Amino acid sequence: MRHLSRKGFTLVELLVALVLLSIVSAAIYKVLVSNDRVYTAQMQRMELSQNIRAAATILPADFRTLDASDSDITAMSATSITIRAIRQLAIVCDTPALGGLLAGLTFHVRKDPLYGPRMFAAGSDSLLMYYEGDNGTRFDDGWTPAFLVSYIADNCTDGKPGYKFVVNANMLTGQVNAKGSIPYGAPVLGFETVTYKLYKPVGDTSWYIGYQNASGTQPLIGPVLANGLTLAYYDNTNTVTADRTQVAIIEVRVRARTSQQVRDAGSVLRVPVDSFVMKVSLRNNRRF
Amino acid sequence: MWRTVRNERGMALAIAIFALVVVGALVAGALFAGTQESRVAENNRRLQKAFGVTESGVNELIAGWDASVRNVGKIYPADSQHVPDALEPGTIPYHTGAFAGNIYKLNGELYLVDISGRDSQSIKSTQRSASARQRIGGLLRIRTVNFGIQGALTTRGGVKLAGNAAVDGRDHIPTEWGAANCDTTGDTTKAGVRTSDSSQIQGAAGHTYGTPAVLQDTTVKPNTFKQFGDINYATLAAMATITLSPGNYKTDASFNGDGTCKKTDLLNWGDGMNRASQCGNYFPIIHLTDSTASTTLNGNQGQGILLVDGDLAIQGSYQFYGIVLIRGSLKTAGGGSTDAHFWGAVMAANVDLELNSLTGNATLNYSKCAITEALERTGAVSLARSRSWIQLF
Repeated sequence: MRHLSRKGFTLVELLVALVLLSIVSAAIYKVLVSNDRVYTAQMQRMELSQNIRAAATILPADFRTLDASDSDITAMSATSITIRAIRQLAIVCDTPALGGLLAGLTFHVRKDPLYGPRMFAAGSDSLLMYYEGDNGTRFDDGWTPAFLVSYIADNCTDGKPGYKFVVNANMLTGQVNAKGSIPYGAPVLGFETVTYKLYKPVGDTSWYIGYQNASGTQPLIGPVLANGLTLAYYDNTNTVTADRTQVAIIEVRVRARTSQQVRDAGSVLRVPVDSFVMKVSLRNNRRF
Repeated sequence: MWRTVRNERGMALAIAIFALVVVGALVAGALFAGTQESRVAENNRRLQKAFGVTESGVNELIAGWDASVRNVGKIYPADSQHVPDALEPGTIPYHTGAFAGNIYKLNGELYLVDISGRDSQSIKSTQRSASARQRIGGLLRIRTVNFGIQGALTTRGGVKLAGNAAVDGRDHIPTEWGAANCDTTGDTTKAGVRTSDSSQIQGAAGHTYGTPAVLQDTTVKPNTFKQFGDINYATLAAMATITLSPGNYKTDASFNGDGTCKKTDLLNWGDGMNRASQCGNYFPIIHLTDSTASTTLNGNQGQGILLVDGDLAIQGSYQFYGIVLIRGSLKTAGGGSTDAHFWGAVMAANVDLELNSLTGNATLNYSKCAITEALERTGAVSLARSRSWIQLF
């Protein structure tokens, strides 16, 4: 008969080891779960802060450039605003031949300087051309709207690189369709019509601040609360106004939320909320 | 002596190390995320600061605008001005930040300023990534003084016309100036003489031209000669480039040894007779002081805005291009062989215009081009009437 020399654990040893392992595992699990909650909560709060910052950056940037007195606000409510958002700035190098038809008007702009986050989009962008009129006075200065039909790369007559624009212009009341009304060196602004609004995408349960342009609507900032975007409009006496042409200040109030619930210190599931209020002064209203 | 027990087994150390690693990783992750968040927030704050610096930069540039330097530059793309320069240091008070950029003269009236601003921390930092910068454009328009000119001669006093003297309200481009530099948009023929009382005009027939030749306008009041929009006569006089006491002067363009325009010469009132010269674009605001005295100009030429507290007498074939504003009276004599004494407009609170002793042609010709040039070359700038603030990228 063979003598068994192998050693083993006694039952007591095994039980003690298992109990100890359970205690340690439970402790580690608790630490891990706790850390995961903290991490998740922190990430959610960061996302919330980033949403708030995005709202505080994007909305005022477009609102500042508005000239409400010249109909840059085409619709407004407490949860939505439709505006002409300036996207490009170019300089005329060959003037349009005014005095005749305003449809199919051609002129050149310089390639440099030409400012904007993107190039002009023919067929969807519209233009505002600086109207000088009588150059002896500032009181008739303004902007002539036009629709950009097409453009091609084509040098200015001074040989510098440029673009040839074909537009359908529309002189406003008081503007004279005469040679020189839109002079050499006149700035040309490109704009698109955009809407910022409280928006819930189809199939989504969350609200967002939506951005709508010719391409459609997409969520821009969010998620936000059901009352996550509130806009108020003030005139130059700081009085609330419903007249789109009298708006001098826009108050933006954003209430954002996290996309997930997170446990607070008392281990209760909550949706953290943060908000900001900003009054944006419109820089481009007519001055005199 | 220590004895190693070779068959000792256990997991405590391994578990402890594992737990420490896991907890450490989570803590490090949380710290990293927190640090990143803090940095983003700080960058955002600095971006706001840079925005304020940039916007202030545009305003500082307007406030420190010197027409005699800025307005004489060539139109882009022939020229542009870079700031900071001798006029504009490009710093914001209290070390908030600094700005730099370019001024583009787009045409005779419009300027585009392209300004980039940075906060003070970005200026000190040598790391490119640590820079907070914003860029704003300002569309500036020459802020021309609104003289309300409606005639070649605007007056409240009597006017006596004789000899070959003429007051002509029809628009003229100065003979020596090219039409290419004169934008005639919006031109309409003005009155020859615009006065509060047309009965005081003697010898108008054959000597006055325009629509109408003589305009009786009861809105011509003492304030017509004192208040011009939001600027009054005293403010305008305080902006003068040249101030002289009454006397008998002969003014003409003068040049430094290197051929540049000698602007330190108080009798150099520009070179309207030769716009291509170094003084051709020099349009000073000239102030002749002393309301009790008379000044005589006896040759050769001047341009800009001439403000006369007292009386003004013109001799010979003196040529002036621009606006003349006289608080006292105007007397002209002669005319010489060169046509016209004044191209632009004259406003005289009390005029005694006698030309009958003169030979040649002494005339006052309304010239929108000369008026516009004088206003644009001497005017300060302000933001354009609308949409002058542009976010640049």
